[in-house]
Amino acid sequence: MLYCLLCSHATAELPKIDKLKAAYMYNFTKFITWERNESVPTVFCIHKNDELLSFFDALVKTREKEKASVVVSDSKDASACHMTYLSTSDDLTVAHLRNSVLITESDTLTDAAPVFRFYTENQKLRFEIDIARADELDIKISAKLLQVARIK
Amino acid sequence: MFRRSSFFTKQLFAVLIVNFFSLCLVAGLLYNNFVADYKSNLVDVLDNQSTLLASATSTSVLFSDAETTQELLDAASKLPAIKSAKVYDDAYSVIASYTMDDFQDDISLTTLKEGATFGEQLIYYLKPIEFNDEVIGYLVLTASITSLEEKQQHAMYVVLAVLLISMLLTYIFHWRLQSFLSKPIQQLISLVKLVGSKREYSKRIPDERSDELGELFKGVNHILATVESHQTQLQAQNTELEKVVELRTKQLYQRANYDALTQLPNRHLFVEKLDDAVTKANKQSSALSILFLDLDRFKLINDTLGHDIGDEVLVIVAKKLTAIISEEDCVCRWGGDEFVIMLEGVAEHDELVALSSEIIDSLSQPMAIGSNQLHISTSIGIALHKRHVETGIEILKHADTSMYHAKERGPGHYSFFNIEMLEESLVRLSLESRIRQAIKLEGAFSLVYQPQVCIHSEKIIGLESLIRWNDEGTNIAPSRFIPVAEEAGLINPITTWVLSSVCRQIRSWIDEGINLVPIAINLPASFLIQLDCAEQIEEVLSKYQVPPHLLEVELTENTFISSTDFALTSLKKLKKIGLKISIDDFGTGYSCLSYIGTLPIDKLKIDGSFVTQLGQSGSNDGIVNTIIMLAKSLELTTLGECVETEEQQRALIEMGCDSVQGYLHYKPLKSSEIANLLR
Repeated sequence: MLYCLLCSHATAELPKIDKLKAAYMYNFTKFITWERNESVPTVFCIHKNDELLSFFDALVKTREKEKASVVVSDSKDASACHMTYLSTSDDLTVAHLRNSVLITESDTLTDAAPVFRFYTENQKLRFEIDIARADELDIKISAKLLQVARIK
Repeated sequence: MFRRSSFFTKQLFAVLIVNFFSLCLVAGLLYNNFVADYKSNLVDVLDNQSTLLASATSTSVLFSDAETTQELLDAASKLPAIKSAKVYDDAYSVIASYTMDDFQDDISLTTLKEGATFGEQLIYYLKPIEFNDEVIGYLVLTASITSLEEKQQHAMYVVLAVLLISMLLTYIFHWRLQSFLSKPIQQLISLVKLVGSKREYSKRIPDERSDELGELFKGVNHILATVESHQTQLQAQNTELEKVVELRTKQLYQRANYDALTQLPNRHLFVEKLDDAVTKANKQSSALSILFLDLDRFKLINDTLGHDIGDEVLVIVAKKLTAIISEEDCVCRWGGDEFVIMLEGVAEHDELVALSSEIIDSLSQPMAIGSNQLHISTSIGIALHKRHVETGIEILKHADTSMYHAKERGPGHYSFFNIEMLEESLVRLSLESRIRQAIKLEGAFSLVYQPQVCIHSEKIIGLESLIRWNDEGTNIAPSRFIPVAEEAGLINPITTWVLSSVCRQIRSWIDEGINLVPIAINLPASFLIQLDCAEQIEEVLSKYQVPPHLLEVELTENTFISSTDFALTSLKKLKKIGLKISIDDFGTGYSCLSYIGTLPIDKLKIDGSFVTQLGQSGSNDGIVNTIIMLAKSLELTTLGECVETEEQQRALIEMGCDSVQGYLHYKPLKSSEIANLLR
């Protein structure tokens, strides 16, 4: 639903599903807390997907006008990413992404385990959460979010 | 209806109206408050539930997780009042919903406002689902308000029940309270009623109270005390008045029934007693007698000695009569000098005679009143009751009639009634009536003159005028009508007529040039004792210019017996005027010879009864002789009356009598004949 707000800004090429994912990802940031990094804004990296990056950046800026709690960055530009979206099952060549909270729709990621994984069910976008991985990364995920997700 | 109710009821009614109004107001407010509270609670519950649900579903809505949202809504189905629950996204599309089986809901989200909206038997609650201060969807809860209506109805029943119970309790409480408060008022009302109906002003109401009622009771008690005091005073005055009335009644009865002077029963009371006695006598065939007493010459005593003396005489007479009769008998003062005695059970002739004689003797005893020694007598008429014939008044009339007959016999006599007396009485009444008419008529009376001659020279030395009455052609003798005229009080008018006629005749004869001699007229005692007797005679003499020496007055001996100062004064005045005075019928009375000497008289006329018997009785001749000697010793002239024979005249000459009058010389002559004689 949030993506509709960005319809005029986003490129026409970006599929509806990606827009929806962008919105979901933004919302994920609201349910996650880093125990060791409370004060700084959450750095959200988009890996190798410029269309989505620009869309997501616009989305975040639209939502957070006064105080930015989320900073959108390209994964290749960021030195450290709290959260990272991997659109494909590319290998994580960049080492600093390994300790990032990974979000992907691929179920073939081998280098690092994602915390969030999108999937489609009954033609609806759903997501799965890997709690063990979240614990490894020392993050806390709200129970509310866990309630609407599939737990791995 | 309300107006006729008691004050107690009205006051109770008024208080109850106010209280009931207040109670109804409170009940209404309570009911409204209760309903509002319940509504508010209901809304609060819905608000809480919707807040919880909205919060719970926010994440699922955020991530369009219809399944989770539906699960959460299903959880809300356990809430009993919730009929349906729906979650919309921000595009008003239903994400998830829950509806009870029997509930049909067609409400549109756009018609609802945020919060509670009341529909028919339903309440809708719209709650926005927010995430990070953004509305991401809407939750609509629909609940039945049947419970609210039930609660309202229940609350109404409760409030009504409480109201009714409160009203009942209020009524009972007020009734009791007002009964308690109005009890003193009821006591006051009872007291006022009691005082009003039975006039018991001594009653009081306890006034120990310190409130306004206490003041009122004190005031009422004070008024009652004042009224009681006045009542007591009135009672005392009433008692005093009743005593005065009783006394006055007794006095009035005394005055109405008893004679104030003698304290004897008066005529009124006596007639009552007499009627009772007659009734009793008729019933029991008992005897009843009446004695009618009239004091002789009492009028003379009254007129000459004064009423005070007369009254004393009457008192003494009353005492004497009361002493004589027995207690069973009754004596009353009939009026003036008349007394009546009623004797019940007495009818014996001898007994009545003895009683009458005793009364006459007793009253004949001299009475010493002041410096006067009075001699009176009484005449008694006696009448006996005849069974079933007479009334009391008739018996009295009979006794009265017989009393007059007794009087005719002279002072100090009694007489029993007989039927002839009644006839005589009637004749007497008729005669009296005719005398009255004769006095008014001209020419009914006439005068004749009997000459008096010198016994030696046989010359006429005087004339005695004698009255004659021709009653419609019938000559009635003076001896018959004069006593009647005296009794009826008509003698003075007749005397006046005689005086005027004689003087007029003298004037006529003087005018005719006749050589007149003194002419005598008979002057009754009643005329003489008039205060202006001398003045009347002088006036007539003056009127006809008659020399006083030509008029002589003749008085009867009895006039002097009862003579008083008035009579003596009149005589002296007449003598002073120049009239000659002689005593007529001398010797028949009871003159005190020594008293004769003090009178201013000129002549003694020896009564004809002595003259007629001259030469027939020594004692009679002696009396005549003595009279003549007495007259000579008193330097009075003497005249023999009724001289009819030479022998009588010779005897008188021998005894030294000066003059005679009688048929021997002249019978009474008419004026014309006298004129011829004197010429």
